[in-house]
Parts: sequence; C-alpha cells; structure tokens
Amino acid sequence: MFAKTQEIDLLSTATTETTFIWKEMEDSVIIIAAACGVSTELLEMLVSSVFQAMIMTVGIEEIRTCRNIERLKRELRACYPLVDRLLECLDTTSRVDLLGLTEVILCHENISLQALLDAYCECLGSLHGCLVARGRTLVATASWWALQPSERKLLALLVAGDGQATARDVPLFLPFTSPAVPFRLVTCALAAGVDVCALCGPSPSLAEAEHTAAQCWRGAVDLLRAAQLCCPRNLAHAVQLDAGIMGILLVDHLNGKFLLSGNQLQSDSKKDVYRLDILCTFYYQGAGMLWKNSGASKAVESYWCSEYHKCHAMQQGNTLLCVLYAAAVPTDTMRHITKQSFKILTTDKQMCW
Amino acid sequence: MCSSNLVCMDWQSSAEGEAILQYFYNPQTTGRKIFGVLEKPNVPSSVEEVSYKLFVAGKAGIGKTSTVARLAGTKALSSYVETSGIQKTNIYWPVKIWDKIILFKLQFWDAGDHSMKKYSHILPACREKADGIVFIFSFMDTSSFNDLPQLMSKTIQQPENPTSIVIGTRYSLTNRLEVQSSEIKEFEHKWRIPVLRIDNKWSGERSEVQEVAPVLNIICERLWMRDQEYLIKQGLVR
Repeated sequence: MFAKTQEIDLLSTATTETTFIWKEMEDSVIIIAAACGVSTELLEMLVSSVFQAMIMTVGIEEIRTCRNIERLKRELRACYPLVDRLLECLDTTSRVDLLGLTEVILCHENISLQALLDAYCECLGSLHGCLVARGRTLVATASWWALQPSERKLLALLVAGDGQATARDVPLFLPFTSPAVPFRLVTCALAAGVDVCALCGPSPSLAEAEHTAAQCWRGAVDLLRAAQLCCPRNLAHAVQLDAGIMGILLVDHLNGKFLLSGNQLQSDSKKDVYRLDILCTFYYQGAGMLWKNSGASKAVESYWCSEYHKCHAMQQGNTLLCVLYAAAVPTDTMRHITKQSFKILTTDKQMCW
Repeated sequence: MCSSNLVCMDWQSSAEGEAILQYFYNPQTTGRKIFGVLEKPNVPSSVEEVSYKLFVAGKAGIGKTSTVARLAGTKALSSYVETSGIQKTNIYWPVKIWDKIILFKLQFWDAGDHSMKKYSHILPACREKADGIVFIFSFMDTSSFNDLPQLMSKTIQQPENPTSIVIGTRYSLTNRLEVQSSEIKEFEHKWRIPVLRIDNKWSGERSEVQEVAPVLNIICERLWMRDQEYLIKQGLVR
C-alpha cells in the first residue's frame, strides 16, 4: 500500500523460507499469495489462476465495476472450492497435479470415444465438449483444445469437484474466451467415474442434454468402463514400458496437456505419489527449463542423478518426456529408453496424444 | 408387517429386500453405488421401473444438497459450499408395494439459491413437469420451519399438481432441537403432509441404507399415491 502511493509496483518479496506475491487485478482486487518451497513463477501462475476462477464465477464486469462490495464478496464464495483445488495443485503430498495444464489419460479406447464425443456435441449444438474420467481428460473436441490451457484446467477441476451428481448445469464465464457473457457447463455422469461435459448456450435444457447423452453413449458402456480402468496408471495397461521406468511425465507445451503415470499395473498410491512428486520437482526445477533456452545451442535433454533415482528428460518439438528411473539403470542407457518410450507414447494413433 | 401403509415400510430389512439391495451397493467400497445415465441397478428384468422428478426447495444454506447426498448414500462435503447452478441426482430405490417390487428412479433437482436469482432459466428448469416438491427445513433453525407455509403456497401452484414432501434436516435424538415436536405435529395435521426426519450425518456403513429407508419409502409412497389419484380422476372423467 505504501509502494502504491509512491507509484511503485510491489511484485514479490521473500523471507528466508517464504515467498510472497502481490498483484493488483483490473484496479479492483489485490491477490496475495504466500508459499514455501515454490518458485515465484509458479506462484504468479497460481495468482492469475485464482483471478481467473473469480472471473469464471462472477464475470469480469462484476469485478471491474463493483457496485456492492458485500454482494461481490458473497458471490465470490462460490469460487472457494475451485481456489482450494488450485492450491492443491501446488501441494503434492496427496495428489500430484500441474497448474495450468490438462491431465490426460492415454488409452486405446480414445479413438472410438473421440468419434462418440464429436457426435454428442453435434447433437447438443455445442462446439466445446470433453470426456473426463476421474478428473482426467480422455478426449475433447478441437474447440475445447482451442480454449486457453488455464481455462481448460479450471473447467477440469470444476467437473472433477464432486462426484455425486448425475447431471449438472453450471452457469459460468470463460476468463479469456467469454469473460462477460456466461455459458452453461452441462455435465452428465455416463458411468461411475466418467463424465461428459459440454459448454452450451441457452439450449438445450439439462433434461434434454441428459436424454441426448443416454442416447448417444448407449452402446459405449463397455468402452467407458475399460477406459476408466486405466486410472490411476493413466496409461493403457497394454502399453509396456521398460521395467526400469518408475514414472513418466509427458508434457505438451503448445496444447497445454500432460500425462503422469507411475508405470505400475498394481498401484501403491503412496509410493506412486512420492515418485510422481519427484518427477514434478524435476520438471519444475530442471527439465521445464528446456522450453526456455533458445539461441544457437539449444539444450534438448536434462539429467538428474541421485542416490536412489535418476531422472532424464528429452524434448522433441512441443513435447517433453521426463522419466524417473531406478538408480540401477545405467546413465548412458537412459537416453535410449527415453527415446523408445517417447515413440511408444506419442505415435500410437489410437491413444490420441 | 406392512400394516396400513401402501408401501411396505420394513421390506428393505427383510431377506428379500436385502437380496435386492445387493445390486445397489458398490462391492469395492462399503457404500452405495452411483449410477451414471447409462447404468441402472442390475435387478431382475421382471421388476418394473418408474421415474419421477422432484424439485428440492428450501432456503439457502439449509442443507438441500447434503440431504440429497444423504439419500443417495454419498458423502456430502464437510464444509458448506453454495451449489452453483443445477445439480441433479438420480437415486434408484426398490420398494415393495402390495406384493410387487417396483424400482423407483427418483430424480432430485437441486439448485443454488444465488444462481437461481441470477440466472432466470434455472428455476423453470427445476420446476417444469415436477412430480413432487421436497421442502427442506432445519430442526436447528426455527425461521426455516416458520417460512415453510409461505414457501409451500408459493411453490405448489403448478399445473402438474406436484405432491409435497417435507424433510427436516439436522434431526437428532440427543441434542435439543429448535423446532419442537408439537409444532411438527400441528403442521402435519394442518397440511396433511408427514414431516420426515433426517440427520445428514453419514455413517459410511451399510446401515446408512436402513437409516434413510423410511424417508425414501415415504417419498415413493406419496408419488405412487399421486399417480393412483390421477388414474382414478381420469377414470371418472371418462
């Protein structure tokens, strides 16, 4: 506040353990975030995501020209669960997630599901549709992928929010695509754990959308169940990766999506989370930097070796594969295995990476 | 056993009822199964299915969403969150009427109070063609109970002539309740509507089914009776 009166922008401040980020949005709200062990950059991303969650809930106009502050505060309460989930993206103790990126599942059913989803959206008259299993995207329409990555992330977090409803009709704004005119997010639980969602205008009604969903997906129950069984590996069981691989993180920078897999057929969730957490740290602190450097000599690989594990990352075009290996895997063979896995994961047309 | 009721009230705890209820549990967890729009309980094909739409009404924050969650056998959120938009939950419930088992598909339409005021399509979507209206009040909030008559007379006027159901949440045998049982009796007598009681605490065990069974049974019975009355009326007109 002092800085503001002096026409100075306070960006961030750091104590020995904690980083503070301070940002004023639209001359209206100030968002402050504090965290330990998180980079300033990530914290900045969190702050803008929180602001986007606010826009999603009340619309940009309401925030810009706020007439009644108490009412705005009350309305914003609706976005708290979403903000909580954003904060959870930074807390990797229970579940590993990446801010601003859509988590996907790669399974062989995807190619058939894509056709069904496109048909469903056409019936609804919606361009934006997405099929989600346990909060992770199986397939989505081209227009859904054309949304801003952080918008998609918020929508995915919203859909994953609570599992009990059979169908929902949630009015919301899209922070980038439509910040002032609300859309309706219409979701339908098709089978246990699998939801289909679409962004709609005034029609069709929720009852009609549910009826259409039951019609369009009628023959797909087995496909959906099979796809859902890929969780929590997030990868088709038929895909065999090298036994030395303890976890993978595949990131598409351009399309804003990622795949996170513990490479275990039978999952021990605690161990899994721990391993995936290492991969994320590797991504944030090491491999993720590969996007940034440019110039004459561009690095495309990154290595980390510790007592218990080794990490290796390889970048090709917009895609980056980070792999966690057991320490016993010789450092010089990692590169070969990563390359092989890269090919397996990204070239299979049925999995639609 | 079934006494004066149309619906056999303790059928769910009979051997036959228990056997049918097996199709409603999730074998992986101890709780009830949630059915997507493509699924339904795997009951014998001879069992007839009937479907009803119910609109859940009541003031903001009173526990509409957690009541529906309780009836569905799922865990409600531990802290209060206002529902945004419409949340529709299908609950399948088997009921024995006379000597016949009937599968009820109860579609609960629940909407956040704030979204209802802000977006005009929500209330009509919830009320349209509703077979019943579930009014929720809290035993710990006297005003929510006192406001019921007004809310009811405002909401019931609909061409479909929906049946009314009243559920009091946060009911407890041990705690002192804000709404007295004499007031409830008076209300029941005046409106001729039974007041159902629920505590909204989810035990997370199979016994939860037996706890909510009386509430679901009475909801089903009232819907069934409404149909019978309609059929009789139709018969008279002809």
